[in-house]
Amino acid sequence: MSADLQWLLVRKWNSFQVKGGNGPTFSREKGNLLNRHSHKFSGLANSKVINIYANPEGGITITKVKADAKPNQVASARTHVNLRRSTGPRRANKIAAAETAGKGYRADLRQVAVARASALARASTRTANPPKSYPKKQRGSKKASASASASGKKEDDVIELD
Amino acid sequence: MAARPTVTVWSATGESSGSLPLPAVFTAPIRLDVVQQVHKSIAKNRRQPYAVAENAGHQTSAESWGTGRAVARIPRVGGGGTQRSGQAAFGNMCRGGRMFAPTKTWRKWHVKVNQNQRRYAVASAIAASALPSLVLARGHRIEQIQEVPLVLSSSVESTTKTKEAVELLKAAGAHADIAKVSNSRKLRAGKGKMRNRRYRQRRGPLVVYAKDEGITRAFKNVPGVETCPVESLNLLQLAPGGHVGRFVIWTESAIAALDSVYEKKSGFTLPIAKIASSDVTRLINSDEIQSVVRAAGPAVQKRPFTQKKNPLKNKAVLFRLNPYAKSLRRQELLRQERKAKGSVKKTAPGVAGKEFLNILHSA
Repeated sequence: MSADLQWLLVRKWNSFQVKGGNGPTFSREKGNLLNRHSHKFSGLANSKVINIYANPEGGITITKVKADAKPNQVASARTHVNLRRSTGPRRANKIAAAETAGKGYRADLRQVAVARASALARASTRTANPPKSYPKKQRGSKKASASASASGKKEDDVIELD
Repeated sequence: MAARPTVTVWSATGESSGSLPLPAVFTAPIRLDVVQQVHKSIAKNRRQPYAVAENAGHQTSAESWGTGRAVARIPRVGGGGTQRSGQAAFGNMCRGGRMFAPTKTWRKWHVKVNQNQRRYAVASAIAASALPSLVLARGHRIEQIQEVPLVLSSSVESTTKTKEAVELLKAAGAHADIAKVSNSRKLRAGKGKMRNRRYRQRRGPLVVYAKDEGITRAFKNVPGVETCPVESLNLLQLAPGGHVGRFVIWTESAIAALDSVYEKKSGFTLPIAKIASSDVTRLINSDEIQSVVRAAGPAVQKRPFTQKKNPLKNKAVLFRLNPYAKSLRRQELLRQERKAKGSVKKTAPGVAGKEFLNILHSA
C-alpha cells in the first residue's frame, strides 16, 4: 500500500484533523511537523516520517521510521534520538537538520524541522533571573482598612482566649 | 511479487513465538465508498420499529360545521361547556390533531445488501485493519504495539479471567487503547440515558478468535473490547461508523483459519487491486513511462515578481507602453536644436500692424 493511496484514504476523514471554521485544516497527529492537514506534512500517509517533540525530561526527542521497516510494523519501526535538556538550541537545531535531511531522509522538511526544534528549545529555556513575586502594595483607604482589620482580628483572638 | 509477507505471533507474555503467512484477505483493495455504503445499509437492520398510536388525533367525534358559519370547514369538536368544544380537530394543522402521514410500524426498516457486496466490504475492512496509518487515523492508540495485525498465540483463547485478559493486553502493548476507552466514558446527552444507553464511550480493540474456550467471557468486562468468532466477522464491528481501520487482535488459530473461511464462501472471489503499484512517484519514474515521455527541455527561469520600472523615468518602459512618446520626444529635441541655432523667426509677438493701428485710431 503506497503512501499516495494511504493519503487518499486518510485525507477525507481521520481522527486527528481539526477543521476550525474558516482557514486551513490542521492535523494533530504525531509526526506532523507543521500540524497542517496535507500530504507533505502528514504523519500518517508518508513512508518517511519525522517527529520532533518535547520529552518529559524537558529535552527534545526526534523519532524517525527505520529505513528497513516493514509497512505493518508500528513500535518496532521507530527509532528515537533523545536530546538532554542541557543541549543548547543551536546544537539541537543542527541535530534536527541532520536527522531530517541527512542520508536522503526528508530534505524537504529540513527548514520546518529546525523551526520546530528551535521553538521547543525556546519553550524549555530556564530564565536566568526568574521574576520575584512581591505582595501587592495597598494604597490609600485600602491600606488603612487592611491594617485596621488586621488589628481587629487580633482583638477577636484575645476575646476568644478569654 | 515478492515473497508472501508474514505476520509475527506474540506469546501471552509479549515475546514473538513464530510467524504465519499473511492471509490473502489482507491484500484486498480498501474501498471506502463500498464500506461506507454497505455499513450505512447494514446499520439500519438493527432498528426497532416505532410509530404513533393508530388512533392518535382521531379520538373525538368532530364534524365539519359546513359553510355559512364564517369559520373554516375543518371538522370541529361538538358540544359545549368545555374549552375543546368548537375547536378544530383531526387535521395535521390542528392542535390535538393527527400528524401528517402518521408513522407506521410496517415501514421498510431493513435494507437489503447484496451478499457479495457485504463480503467485499468486510474484506476491505479487514485489509484496512492491517495498515498502521489507517488504524491510527481511526483513533486507536496503537503506538506501543509491535505490528499490525496483532496476532496472539492460540493459548489466549482459553483465558477465563478478566484479570488475565488485561495482563495479556498490557503485555501486547494494547492497553493504551483500553485506557483511552476508559477515560472517554461520558454521560450520554438526551433521553437515551433513561433508555439503557446511559454512557457513551469509544471503541477499543476487537478480539477475533477461532474457538471460544472462555475468551469471550474473559474479555467481556474490559472497557471497549469486543469479541467475534472468525467465521462471522461483522462490518459493524470491523468498521464502526463506516470508518475502516478497527484495531483487531487476532488469535493465531483465527488468523490461520482466515484463508479457509474465505475459500468456503461459494460464489465469492477475493477482490484484487486494479493496479499492482499505486506509488505515483515510482510510476512516473518507471522505465515504461520515462521511455515514452518527451525529454525535458532546457530549464527556463521565469521571474514572476521582477522589480517594477517607473515609465516616467525609464524611457524604454515608457516607449513600450506608449510608442508615440518616442516621436513626441524626437520632435521636441529637434525643436530645441533649431532654437539653439537661432533659425526660429524673430517676429515679436503681440505687436499690431501699422494698417490696423491707422484704422483703429482714425475712428
